[in-house]
Parts: sequence; C-alpha cells; structure tokens
Amino acid sequence: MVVPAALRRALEEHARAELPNEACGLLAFRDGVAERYIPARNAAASPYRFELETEPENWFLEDDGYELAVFHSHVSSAPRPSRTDVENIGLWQGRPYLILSLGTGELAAWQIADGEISPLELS
Amino acid sequence: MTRAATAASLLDLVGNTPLVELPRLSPKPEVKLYAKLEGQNPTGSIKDRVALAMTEAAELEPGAELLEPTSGNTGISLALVARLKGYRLTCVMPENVTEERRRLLRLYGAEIVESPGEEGSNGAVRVAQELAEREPRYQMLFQYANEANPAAHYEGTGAEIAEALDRVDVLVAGLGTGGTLMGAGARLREAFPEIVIAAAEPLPGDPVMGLRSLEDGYVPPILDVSKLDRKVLVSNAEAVVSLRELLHEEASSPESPPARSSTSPGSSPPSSTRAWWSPS
Repeated sequence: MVVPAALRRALEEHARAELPNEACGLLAFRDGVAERYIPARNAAASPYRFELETEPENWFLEDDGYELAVFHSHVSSAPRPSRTDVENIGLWQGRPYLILSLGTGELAAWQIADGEISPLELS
Repeated sequence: MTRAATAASLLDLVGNTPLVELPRLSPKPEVKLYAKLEGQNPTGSIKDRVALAMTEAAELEPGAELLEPTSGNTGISLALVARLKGYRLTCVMPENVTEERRRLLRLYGAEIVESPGEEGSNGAVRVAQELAEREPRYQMLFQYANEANPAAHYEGTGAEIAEALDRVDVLVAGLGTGGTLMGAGARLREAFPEIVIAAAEPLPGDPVMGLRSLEDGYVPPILDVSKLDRKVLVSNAEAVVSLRELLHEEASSPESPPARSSTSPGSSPPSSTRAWWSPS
C-alpha cells in the first residue's frame, strides 16, 4: 500500500485539527495507491476512540473501483490498534486499517480479523 | 480475566488486576462495593500501567535517558520498565521522601535528584522541568501531562472494570495526576452514562504520598475538573481508620464475623473532616 506524501500531510493536518480528539476518515485506494482522503467526523469526539461518520455517498466509492481503507489518529500512543480499536472493528474487519500516531508521526497499516492484528506493508 | 500460567516478562503481568467484592463494608445489601487490586501489578502499584504505556507511546531507543518528577510509585514503575527495556532513569523527588523509596529506586537502578522538601511534589516538577531544559539528553515523559497516562486507564483499568461488571454507579479513585479518574472515568462513562466519577483528595495540607489536593497549587494538565462529579476530602486520620476498618471487616474469618465498627468507640472516622463537593 502506498500513501503519497501529499495525502500523508492531509492526514496529519486533519489529526492535528481534531485534537484533543482522535480524527478519522476514509482513504480511497486504487491499485494499492491512495488517491483520495475524505475526512470524516468522529461522532465519539473522544481522545480514546472514534466513530466514523461520513456522507452516505462516500460508501459508494467502491462501485467506482476504489478500495476503501479506514484511517484514524492516535493522540499520543503508537500507531498500533488499541484494545478499543480491536473491540470496535465492526465492518472494517479484514479491511485496511491505517493509524497515524501524533506522538511519533508514524503512519502504519493493519488488518484486524477475529481479534488478530496483522501488519500491512505501507510506503 | 484469568492470566496465563507463565509470563515471558514481568511487563506481561501489568494490568488485568482482580476486582474483589467488599460485602461487609457495604452499608446496605443492595449496595455492592468492589475494590480493584492494583497492588497486584508487578511493582505493587497502578503506576505500572502508566509507566508501560508512556514508554511504549514514546517508542524509545535502547539507552534512552528518562527523567521524571515522581514521589515514588511512578518512579518505581518506570525504574522496572527502564531496567527491562534498557533505558536509564533519573527520578526527581523531594528530599524528605522515605528512605524505603530511595532504596527501592536504587535497587532498580534509578538515579535520584532531590528537590526542596518544603516544596513537595510541586518542587519536584519544577526541578525536573528545569533539568530537562538544561540537559537535552533527558526525555521527560511527564506523567502529569502525558496523554498516554489516562489512555492507559481508558484501555486498561476502565475497560477491565466495564468488562467485569454489569453495572457501575460510582467510581472512586485517588487524585494524583488525574490519569485514573480521566481515563477509567471516560471508559466507564461510555459503558454506564449515569455513573458518578468521584475524586478522593487529601485534605489541604495533609501530606499523602502520590496524591494531591488541588488547593495546594499544581493542577495537572491532563486533569479536566469538569469531568469530575464529586470530590471527597479525606484526612490522614480518616485514611488510617478506614484502612483498619477495611482489614477488620473484610480480612477476618467468616465463622466469627467482627463486631460492626459503629459499636467500637473511636473507630469511626471523624465525620466533621469529610467534605463533599459537586458542581451546582
């Protein structure tokens, strides 16, 4: 998976803008390369978890050939799924799951399925 | 939650502490009191959670030099983590801290820098901040302002309680950095929206290691007082008497239940020192 520098900056800007809460959004990938970032609203408004809210039409991007990944920020902790992230995986089970740590500036990608966390290669 | 029979590291034993019911201390049968036994963390305090969370969030390199203002428990916890992960730790603490704490820290390999005893933990914070500014080799995780502190309690302490109990009406925790109240409080409020979050503070001027009265000055940045529903001021005398009551009531043989403390002269905490605060 590739997230170009411009989109990484967009993720960081959104994450900082949402402080002290976690930011969240959708990344639209085509052939493994992120082409768009759609910032969403964190309905939980919490520094510990997120509930992604976005316009309904964004869910239909997959019909246009995109693969959707969910993104959220960690206010300070490492870019690794927390216990809460795993518990709340919901419909993102088995799908790309990206986390940015504002503590370290690192962006990481994962897949969470049946309570197991697997890293995805990200560049 | 049960633990595995063996652990690869002491750090794997941080958290997932037991909850024990205290039926004899309950004022009425329909009121259930529970204590979370944080003393069962590896170094014997809840701060093991915070030390592990802060160091993991910082993603430190081996050999990193840590500096922390601490009255004891956080220093002890950080000292264990530092020793196991290959960091060096210097603790700043008031010069009048007990010798037992100093020995324990040195046993774990920590260095100690003293701050003026009369300034208490506020002085330790000041000295540590000055030292960190002068010496760039130090990394100060700073439990008072580190978001990994309440996050550890959100993910750990609070989540464990929410998982264990079907209902929680009140959470009472000591106010030190505010991490437990903020983090565990937030997690429990999600599960039980009507919960009352109550902070136990020492009476202003009554010294209690690791806890603070907000009246004494420093308000930790991670503490949001608006998230507290109640504040209970506890005197040293009340704390000692209540501890004796706890041991007397809950740590005796079931065949010979103890006399109720109300029948024992002098064993009830002086009610005039209790104070309740709630926002209007």
